[in-house]
Amino acid sequence: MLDANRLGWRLHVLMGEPAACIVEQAAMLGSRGIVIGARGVTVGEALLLGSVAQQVIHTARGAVLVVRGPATLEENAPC
Amino acid sequence: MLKVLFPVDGSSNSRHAVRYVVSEFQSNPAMDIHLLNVQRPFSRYIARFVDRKDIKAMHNEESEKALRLIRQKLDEASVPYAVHVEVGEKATLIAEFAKRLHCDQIVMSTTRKNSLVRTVEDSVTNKVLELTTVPVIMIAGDAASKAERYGIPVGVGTGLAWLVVAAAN
Repeated sequence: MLDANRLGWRLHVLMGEPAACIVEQAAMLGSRGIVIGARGVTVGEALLLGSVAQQVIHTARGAVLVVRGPATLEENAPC
Repeated sequence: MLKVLFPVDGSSNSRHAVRYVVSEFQSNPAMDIHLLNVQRPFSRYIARFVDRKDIKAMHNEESEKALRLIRQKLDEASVPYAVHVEVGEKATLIAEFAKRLHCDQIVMSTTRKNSLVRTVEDSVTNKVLELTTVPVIMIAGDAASKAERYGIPVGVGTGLAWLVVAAAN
């Protein structure tokens, strides 16, 4: 999609706790903000299953753009 | 034109969000900003004994108080905006309003909280994220108060300990 819209991008691959790595990388790059997708789970589900978006929102230093798609938890359920 | 919904509750965290809105406007003035203040409705037991006009006046007074600082900051930066005041459940109304106005973004501020506090507390921002598919820009503000950070875990821990003791007996 980025290529189709002729948007430049750079890939960073990190190992570790996702939310902490995202926040740290954003700070290291001097980003104006973070864009992240979310599943739209409830707070209880987020606590049980873990929500990276929620953790990023509460630990990031700048603005976090959260985009929730129509995806649901069933999508991630094992077949 | 980028249509932005900016819910304002009068909390200190709104200061962080207004700074963001002003800086975004300065870099891109093609923004249509809508301030939204949602007031909690009175309990029906109270509303039964109070005149409707008085209730409306009280809601208007409270919303003016909540919006004062934000309006002042936007006026100082010469940022144009529209004001909307609604009465009802905050998160539902924010999500509905964003849909009704065909907003491109919602800008909200939130208190920095840990997972436990987020679970126990009734958070408007979390509910909005659950309810809307409109992109939400979250600006994390100040950390939660000490009472919230330490009081809630202590309360939950005490409750669990009490349950364990009760189950053992």
